[in-house]
Amino acid sequence: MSNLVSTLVSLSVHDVTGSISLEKENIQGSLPVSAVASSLASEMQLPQNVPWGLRNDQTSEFLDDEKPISEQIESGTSVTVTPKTHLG
Amino acid sequence: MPELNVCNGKDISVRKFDPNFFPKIPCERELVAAGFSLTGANRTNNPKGIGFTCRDQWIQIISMSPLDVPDPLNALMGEPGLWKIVTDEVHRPWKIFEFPQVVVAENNPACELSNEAAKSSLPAALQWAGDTLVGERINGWRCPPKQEIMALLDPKSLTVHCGLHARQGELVYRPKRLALRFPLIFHVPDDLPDTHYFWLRNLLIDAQNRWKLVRIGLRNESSATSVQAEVDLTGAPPGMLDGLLTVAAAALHAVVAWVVPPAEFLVEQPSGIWALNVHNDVKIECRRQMKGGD
Repeated sequence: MSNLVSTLVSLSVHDVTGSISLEKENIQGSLPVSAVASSLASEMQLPQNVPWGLRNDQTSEFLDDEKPISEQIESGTSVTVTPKTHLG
Repeated sequence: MPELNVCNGKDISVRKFDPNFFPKIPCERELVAAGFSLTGANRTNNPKGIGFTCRDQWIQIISMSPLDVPDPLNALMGEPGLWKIVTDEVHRPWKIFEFPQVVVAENNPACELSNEAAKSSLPAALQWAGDTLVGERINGWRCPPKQEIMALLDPKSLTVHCGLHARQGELVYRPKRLALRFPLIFHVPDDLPDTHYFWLRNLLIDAQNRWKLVRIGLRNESSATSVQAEVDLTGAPPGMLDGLLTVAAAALHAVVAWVVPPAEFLVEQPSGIWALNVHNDVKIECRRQMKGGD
């Protein structure tokens, strides 16, 4: 099968408050995490004027924005959509 | 390179074609050799049904000859070059090969008449169109080194994020193949309702008509059907690649953003949506198309 559609991943997604959850299928594995996070934030109706990242709920690690998502997590993993903010 | 409108829609802002453009480019010999009769500054035709026009800063070569496989969505997927099939208002399919005027003129016209390499861009482009018109492989053409291509292509241009949707494209790079390709729909269910399939097919044809350069097709791989969009640059003259890669990525971005939201809606919604209903005659025609009719 073409590389374009050969790796599709599914995610259990939550926002940081735990008040919004969704099961997302057919996410293209070659997408950089930043694009996946932005589209998930949009689907969860989170503000679009802040950058978003993804945190692996099992390891609590933040995923690298620039790398493809399928290189960093297994399909079916639970992730949290997290605003990329810092103090100061 | 100036920003180009990659849309064929009616709302396109019309820019004046520079009537002095062709006189500045010594391509008359190549046009005549290809069978064109030069009857005007910006429009020529030849008896083989091939037209040559310039509109909105795009050069268009049009073949009105009958097509062996007239399905606008699948006939030319994977073929080398920029030829694609579009349909007119009565759904008659024809082939078009188009590229921005600027990619052959950027280093060219009057200001650099001494630059032989630049002067050759348009004739080379016409040659490319002629060589790929009947779907032949480009003999002798080899892809430039990959590092050269990657230097011309911003990797971020292969990622499209539009609202809820995101798509990652790929550079298809082989010794004799160069293309940009994006997935639109990952999996078209086998049991997609006829009406949904009808609207999906017409959405894709409309997109292919509307947006320049981009071919759209359904691909069957490993028993799954996906919808993909591509711009095939195989055989492109080296002098055109820089500009074409940029414009191709922009055109594909536009197609992804325009097609994916409604196409995903059609694929994911269950049957029984009243607003999607079509007349039974149309359903019958749709079934015929699904079985491979034109």
